[in-house]
Amino acid sequence: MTALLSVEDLTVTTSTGRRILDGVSWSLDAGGRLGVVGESGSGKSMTALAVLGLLPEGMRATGRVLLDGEDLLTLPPRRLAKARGGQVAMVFQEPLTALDPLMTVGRQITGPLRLHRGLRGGAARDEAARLARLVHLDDTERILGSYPWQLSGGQRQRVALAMALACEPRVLLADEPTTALDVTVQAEVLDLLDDLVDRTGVALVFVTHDLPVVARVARDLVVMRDGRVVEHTSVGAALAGGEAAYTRELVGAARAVTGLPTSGGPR
Amino acid sequence: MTAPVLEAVDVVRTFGATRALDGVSVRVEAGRSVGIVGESGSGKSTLLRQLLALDSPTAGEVRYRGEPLARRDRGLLRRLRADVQPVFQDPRSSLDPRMRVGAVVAEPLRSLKVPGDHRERVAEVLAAVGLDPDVASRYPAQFSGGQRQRIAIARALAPRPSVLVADEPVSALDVSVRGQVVDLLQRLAAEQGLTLVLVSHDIAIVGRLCERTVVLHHGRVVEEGPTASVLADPQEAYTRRLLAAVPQLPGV
Repeated sequence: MTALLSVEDLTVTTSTGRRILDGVSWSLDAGGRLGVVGESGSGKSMTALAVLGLLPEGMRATGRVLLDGEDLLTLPPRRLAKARGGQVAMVFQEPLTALDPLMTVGRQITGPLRLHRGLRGGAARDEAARLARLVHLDDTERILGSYPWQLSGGQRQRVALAMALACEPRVLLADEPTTALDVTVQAEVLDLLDDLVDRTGVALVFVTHDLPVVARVARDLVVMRDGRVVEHTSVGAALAGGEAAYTRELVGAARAVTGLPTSGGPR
Repeated sequence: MTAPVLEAVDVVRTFGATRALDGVSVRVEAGRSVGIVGESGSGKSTLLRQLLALDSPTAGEVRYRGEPLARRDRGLLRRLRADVQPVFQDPRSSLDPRMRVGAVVAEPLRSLKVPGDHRERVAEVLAAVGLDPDVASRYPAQFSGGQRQRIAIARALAPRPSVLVADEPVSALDVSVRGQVVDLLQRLAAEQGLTLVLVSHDIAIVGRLCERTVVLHHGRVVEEGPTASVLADPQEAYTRRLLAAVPQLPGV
C-alpha cells in the first residue's frame, strides 16, 4: 500500500544557508492519524508550512512532498493553490488570524465551496449549513450570520474546521489547533476532531508541543528536535518508552508536569 | 492568630456591565501556598491585580497583613510593594531587552530604595535560582525561555519579599523546562519560607505546587480547599468538568 502523503528528505534552508529542517521523512496512509510533536524550535510547524508550500520569504525547500505520488514541491503555483485547501486543508492555532474579521462566518465557509467545488447561491448556503452542523455549531443560522469577533474561541475554531472540511480534503493539517483554547473547550474540540476523522475518513496530521493532547487523537507519532526527526513510531510505543532517549525524556517530562497527581498536593 | 498576609473579602470588580469578580473571598496565610485556578473569563487575572494592589475593588476589600488597602496609605503600599513580588508569564516581555541582567535584577532594589550592596544581592539571588553570577553582564535575549524565567524569579526575590505572586509562570515554557521551573519555585518556597500565590489555568501545575486550591468560575469561587481533596474528591460539577478535561497520558 502506498502512502497518501509522504515527506521525503525534506530540508529547508534560510537565505543565509542555515538549515531549519534537515532530512525530514515521514508518511501518512489514507485515513491515518499522525502526530508531529516537538518543543519550540524543533521545526514541527515549519514542516507543516513546507508541506503546504507556505514557507516564509527567502526559505528554500528541497526533497519531496508526495501527495498521491505527485510532488507538491515542484507543482506549478496554480496547481499547488488548487491542492492546498482542496486536497490538503489546514487549521491553525489562532482561528482569529485565519478568519476574515470583516466577513460573516457564512460567507467565509461558502468562499472555498465556490472556489473549489463551484457551488453557488442556495446550494452553497445549504452546504455551509450542513458543514456548520457537522462541527456541532448547532445554532446554525445565528452562527453563519455572525462575524468572527462575535463568537467564542471554541466556536471560531469550529468555524475554521468547517472551512477546512468544506472541500472534502484528503488530508487535514492541524497546527496546535487547541493550544489557544481553554482546557474544557479544548476537550470538546479534540472530541470533535476525533469524531470528524472517523466520520469523514480524512487523514490527520496533528502538529503540537503537547504530548497528552496528541495522544488523544493520533495513532502514529513523529518526534522532532532541532529540525530533525528523532523517531517515527506509534503513540503507544512512544508512551511505553520510545527507542530514542529524547522521546523518553519528552514523555517523562509530560508525565511529571501535565499529570494530575492522584494523591494531590505538593511534596 | 495573626492576620493573613493577603486577603480578599467579598471583592467585587465590575467593568461596565461585566462583573469580573462577583464577591470573591480568598485568604493567603503566611508561609503557605495557594493556587487560583480558572479558565479565561474566570476573573483570575482581575483577582491577581487586586492582590498586587494594581487595581481597586468596586466593592469589598483587599487587606495586606490585616490592613485594608483601600485607604491608599502610601506607607502601607510601599511595604506591600517590597514584600509582595510578582512573576509574570512571559519573561520575554517582562524583562527589558535593553537592560543587562544585573540591572534587571537590581531594578526593584533601586526603585524601592533598598539599602545595602545591590551588586552583592544580585549575585546572591542569581545563585539562588541556579544561574552563574557572570550572567549579570549579559542581555535577556541571550538566554533561553527557562533561563529568562529564572532571571525574572531572581528579580522578584531581590528585595527579600515574603510573598511571590506568580501569574502563569510556566505556561510559556517548553514541557521539559516547565518541570525545572516548578521545582525551583517549590525549593525556593521551602528554603526561604516564602508564601506563594500561583494563578494559572493549569490545574496540574497548581496540583504540583500549592497546598490549597481555589477554583474560580465566572468571577466566583466555586470550590476551595486543600489541593489534595479538591483534586481527589471535587465537590462541584465545574471542578469535576475541569479535571476531566485535562488531557492525560494513558498509563503503561
